[in-house]
Amino acid sequence: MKPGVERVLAGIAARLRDDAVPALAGGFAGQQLDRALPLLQGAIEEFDRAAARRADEIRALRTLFADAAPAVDDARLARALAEAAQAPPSRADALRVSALERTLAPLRALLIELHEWTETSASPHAVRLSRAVWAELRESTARRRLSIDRF
Amino acid sequence: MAENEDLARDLAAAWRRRRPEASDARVESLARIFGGASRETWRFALRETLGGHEQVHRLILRRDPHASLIDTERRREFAAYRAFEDSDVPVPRTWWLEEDPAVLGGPFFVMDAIEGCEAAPMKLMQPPYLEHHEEIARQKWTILGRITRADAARLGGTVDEVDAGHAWRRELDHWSALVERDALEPQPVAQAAIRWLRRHPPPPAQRVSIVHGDYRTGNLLVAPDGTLRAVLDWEMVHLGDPLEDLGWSLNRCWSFGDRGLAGGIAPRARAIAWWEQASGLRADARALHWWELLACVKGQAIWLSAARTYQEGDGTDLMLAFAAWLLMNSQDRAILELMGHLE
Repeated sequence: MKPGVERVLAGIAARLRDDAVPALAGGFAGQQLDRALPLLQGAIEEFDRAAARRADEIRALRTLFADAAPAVDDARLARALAEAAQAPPSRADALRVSALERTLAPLRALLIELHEWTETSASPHAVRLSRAVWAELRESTARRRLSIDRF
Repeated sequence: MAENEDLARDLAAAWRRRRPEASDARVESLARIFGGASRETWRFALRETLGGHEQVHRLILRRDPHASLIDTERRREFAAYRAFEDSDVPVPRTWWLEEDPAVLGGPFFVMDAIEGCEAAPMKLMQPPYLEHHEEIARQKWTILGRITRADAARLGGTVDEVDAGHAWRRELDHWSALVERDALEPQPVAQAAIRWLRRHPPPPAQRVSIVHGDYRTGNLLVAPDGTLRAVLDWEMVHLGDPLEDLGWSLNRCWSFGDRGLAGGIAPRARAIAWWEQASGLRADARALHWWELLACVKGQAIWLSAARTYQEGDGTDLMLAFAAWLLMNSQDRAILELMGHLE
């Protein structure tokens, strides 16, 4: 087995931090490299979870849409939610991050539409779905969180 | 190094044309320094002879890069530095503005270097600055209050007028349009904030004032004894509601560390009290909440623009990627917190 991607990136980060940045002694190139260190740290954390967190979000949104579709009184939106809730057949490249992002983007757009709908109705369904949308938004930021985040 | 030598040569030639009364102008020790991604920042020494006496000026060159974190108007920024020279809002003294890109490969301006100070927030969170945080914070929000009292005419017509009742709408329209334009994927958290801001407009501005536009700890030059020596980076200066700057200064993304302090240096209530005392204005809680949320949308718009610029190869400055990676998710969390949905 080869050293893992995270291990290699961590090794590169250590060499930059301990050797390259001090050798450049505070100059512009050194300051640029110094900025690269947290980016490498973020990449290390993101590498292992990149596909999983996107797949988790796709699953969570489809579950939310399946719950929402029967409760939404806007026929077009209800139909779009019902369709989006159906997972398409998986393909061989379905676990590539780029493929997951292409799947996720329209679901996030539909989440915005659903959220907006909950703001236009005072029905118990809308109130319940509003809570569910906010919970998913909170969860989505938790999935994306990195140790380098400012807040 | 060849680029540095060419720039030093062209800069010295421009200086000679600008100051024919001086002779033997030479640019020495030219070095690019880390000064954000909206302009290239270079430090240099200018040696010249004037009236038979040799003199040395320690200077800063700010030159427009090909791609920047913020699209800005350098004439406006230059006017802002000029506006506050010799005032109780400390700024570096400016020398000249050159808008002809043929001179140095991009518009630029030159101003005094203020040496021996620090602006990098992570360094300001450590000794010797740590023990001076209260004093730095008092100066920070007092100076921000003073900016609200400054005569807007000092900007000499480089900024658009705005009505006290519509300042909020202009800012919201501007930043929400950038979120729409630059987002690489749909932004449900920012969009929720934008909708809420439109449904709950703030009261009219108590006065229309000069707004710095990016007033945060990282744009302050601080001496090791805690003296705030200069307010920098006036790229986004405009006229508007004074609460806009206060809200931006309180953005959670500037908290640095776990203590949750405003700007990483002071309890929020103290910061607001210093600002109120210096400005003579009141930070109405509801209005300030609106402007803090607007600050989150504005921040997210800037990080999204940086992300797109870097992703599409229009900019290679690591600061663009740095801003996107460290701040986009944090900004979403700040929105959720302000809207009462974080925990």
